[in-house]
Amino acid sequence: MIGDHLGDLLSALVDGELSPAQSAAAQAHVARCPSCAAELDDITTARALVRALPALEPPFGFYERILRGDRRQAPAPSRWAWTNRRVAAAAVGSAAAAVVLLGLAPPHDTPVTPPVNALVEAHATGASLGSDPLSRLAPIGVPVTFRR
Amino acid sequence: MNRLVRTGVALAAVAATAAPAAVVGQEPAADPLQAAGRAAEQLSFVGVLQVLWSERGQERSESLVVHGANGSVVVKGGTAVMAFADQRLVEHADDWNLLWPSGRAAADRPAATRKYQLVEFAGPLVANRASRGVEVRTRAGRVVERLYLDQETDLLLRRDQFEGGQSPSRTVAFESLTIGAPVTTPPGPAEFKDAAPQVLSASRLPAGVSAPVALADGYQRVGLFQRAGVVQAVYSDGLYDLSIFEQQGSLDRRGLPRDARVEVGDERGWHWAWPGGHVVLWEDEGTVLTAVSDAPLEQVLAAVRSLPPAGASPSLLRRLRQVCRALVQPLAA
Repeated sequence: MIGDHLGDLLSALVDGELSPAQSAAAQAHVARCPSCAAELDDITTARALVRALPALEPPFGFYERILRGDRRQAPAPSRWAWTNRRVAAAAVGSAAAAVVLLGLAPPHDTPVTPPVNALVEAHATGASLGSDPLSRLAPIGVPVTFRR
Repeated sequence: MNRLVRTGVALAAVAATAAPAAVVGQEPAADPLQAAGRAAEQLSFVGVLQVLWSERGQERSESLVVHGANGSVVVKGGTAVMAFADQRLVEHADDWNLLWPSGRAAADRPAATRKYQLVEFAGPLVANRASRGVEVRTRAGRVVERLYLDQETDLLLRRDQFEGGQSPSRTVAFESLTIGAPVTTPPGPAEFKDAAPQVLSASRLPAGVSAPVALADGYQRVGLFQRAGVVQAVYSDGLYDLSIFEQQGSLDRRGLPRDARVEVGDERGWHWAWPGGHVVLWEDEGTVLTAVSDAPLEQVLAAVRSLPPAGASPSLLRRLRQVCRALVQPLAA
């Protein structure tokens, strides 16, 4: 755990790498900690996005060349290609650093729990103005629960 | 009788029971819901209203006592609601809250006929009252509503809302009704808590709030309000209203169901059906948005997906998504 939060344990929780007792404790923590719940949701969403990426076909003959160990056809990298590789490596390094910095930046927003019942009442009563009050107001006479 | 004729007769019999009988095919002279509203304000009546809706695949129903007299209408269920002229009050734990005071309504809605076609038909008996029916269809011919108004008074006897199926997804209907009987409605509460919103000017919206003048599927902005720090933008397509509530902050996800997810643009949100329609909740760049509407879910999602992204700087997750898409799209092509 990092301070009062689960940190890397969240990834382990998603991957099913925790013991049953650890998993139960982690889930109990998530249920009462909005920060960890949000992070868990982001991890789950990010993994779903990565899994949804399409599979890419390698270029024609790629596997065959690997199996042959055939490197003769590959031309010697030119000076320009080496420069490109260095630029690309620097860009990847910078991007990784930016991701780490952004990931470590603390969240600055205050948690908001929308009062959904009150919002539904505000909507339905407003919608009944200048319209039929019976069909617009009757639904809010029925109390409903939006959260578990 | 050959097989084709027998099949035709059978289909006609099914259609006669499923669809309104004796379609007259004329457009009603006035907006039927406005006419019903005026009737409710002018009449004395008492009855039992049944509310039916579907929630997570389960049919649910609730009965409510309703009475109207002297310009006020009171609906009593688990929550009591009062309409008096253009004021709206809701009771919680014996305390009345004034949600809408006089003169605080949204602007006039656009004409429903801009988007929908209204066709009258001869309605059935509803709560032992003769009705005239009004079917509301999209321009593509899809039925979204059937309204049944009292032939004599225009009071709304039944409202069926459809979301693509043959059966209504939501219904409000009188089980029993007495019109003209002496009814004593409770007077307006002597004391109430003022929970009325402030009217907001479009040119002075709080920072981070986006409330465009129009959304997809013909929804036009008709009002901007603020109540307890929550901004409410009201949209209408002439038949349905859609409220989008905006709050600054990050969404507290505790207690939110894991199985009621819905895509809203780049974000994932939550969706619930409530007895009067749909609620969609999501967070977009430090803004928590809650959409509430009586429109079909398909329309609600089309409208909220047309909102511009909130916030000036995209989040890490959104940037990662954009990078992933930028990488994948050329390769996928």
